[in-house]
Amino acid sequence: MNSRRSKLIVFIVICIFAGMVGYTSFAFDEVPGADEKVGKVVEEYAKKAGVEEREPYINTDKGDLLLFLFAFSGLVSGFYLGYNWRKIVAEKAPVNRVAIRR
Amino acid sequence: MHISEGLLPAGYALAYSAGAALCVGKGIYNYNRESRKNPMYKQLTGIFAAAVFIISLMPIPVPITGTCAHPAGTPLAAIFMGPAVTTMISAVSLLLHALFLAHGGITTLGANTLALGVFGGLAGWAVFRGCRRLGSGIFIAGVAAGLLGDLFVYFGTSIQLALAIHGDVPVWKVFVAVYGAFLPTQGPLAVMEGLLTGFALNYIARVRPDILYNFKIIGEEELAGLRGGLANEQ
Repeated sequence: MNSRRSKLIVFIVICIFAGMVGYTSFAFDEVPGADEKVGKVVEEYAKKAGVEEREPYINTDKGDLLLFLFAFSGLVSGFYLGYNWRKIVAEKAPVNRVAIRR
Repeated sequence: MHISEGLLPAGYALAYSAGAALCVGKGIYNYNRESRKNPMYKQLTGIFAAAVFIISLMPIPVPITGTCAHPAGTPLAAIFMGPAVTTMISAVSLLLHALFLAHGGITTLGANTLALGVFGGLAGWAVFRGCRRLGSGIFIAGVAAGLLGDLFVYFGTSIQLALAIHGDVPVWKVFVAVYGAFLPTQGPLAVMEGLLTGFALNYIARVRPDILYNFKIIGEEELAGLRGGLANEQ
């Protein structure tokens, strides 16, 4: 796979994601998580079983606090992933090094 | 697949946690053993831990249903690290989700670890190995593993919930209701996860086939073939 083909694939993936997000935002007023949707089904049975969902012990679902934590964790994971991935794939790439399986 | 805090009766929460603890224990043992043999093992475990942490948290909108859900990431991790180490990775990721990101819970950590790590990881790993034994290429085997591994995560969550909260209703009825609610959103995402897994494996096969060889994903003959292709490209 050459560099031009890789770029084309990345471009297509970005277009698909942009299309998905764009269409969803126009077509639906609310876009809840699947867990929330399934939660309504589960809640019904859970009540009968005598249990119910409760708040997390550390409740960070408070407006922008959760948004910050999602963005921050994405940032940290993304940097870690990208840095190590580059180290393994690009910097240590053995063009024709013979691998040794232990 | 994040079962919320408090949603499982205490007995089931404990049973699922005990099952998950056994698998995590085996994962720690395997991790220690393999990282002594393979110097790249620790680094790749870190990469897959970061990947599973973020992939299993990333809500992706599904335009067909107007809902969001996340892929699992564990089928790909299990192909490299094995299902036990993947369970260990899942436990760490889910603990962070529960503590800081209001996803899942401490009392449901065991159940969520079993679903993400054991059901998803084991299914992905087994499907990949099975497809390879049947002679399919890396890409096709990866797509099948990602797709089925993802669906199995939600299968696991549904069966756990059905067993725990069915009350007087037959278990299968609750299972069908829960899994049926997951599937419209998760089906398209499973296809996406399958493609992601296939492309990731294909990419690694192209740029670093020796990693696949060191992790026993391909054999010597296939490595030689991939190296030949790489040399021709250069």
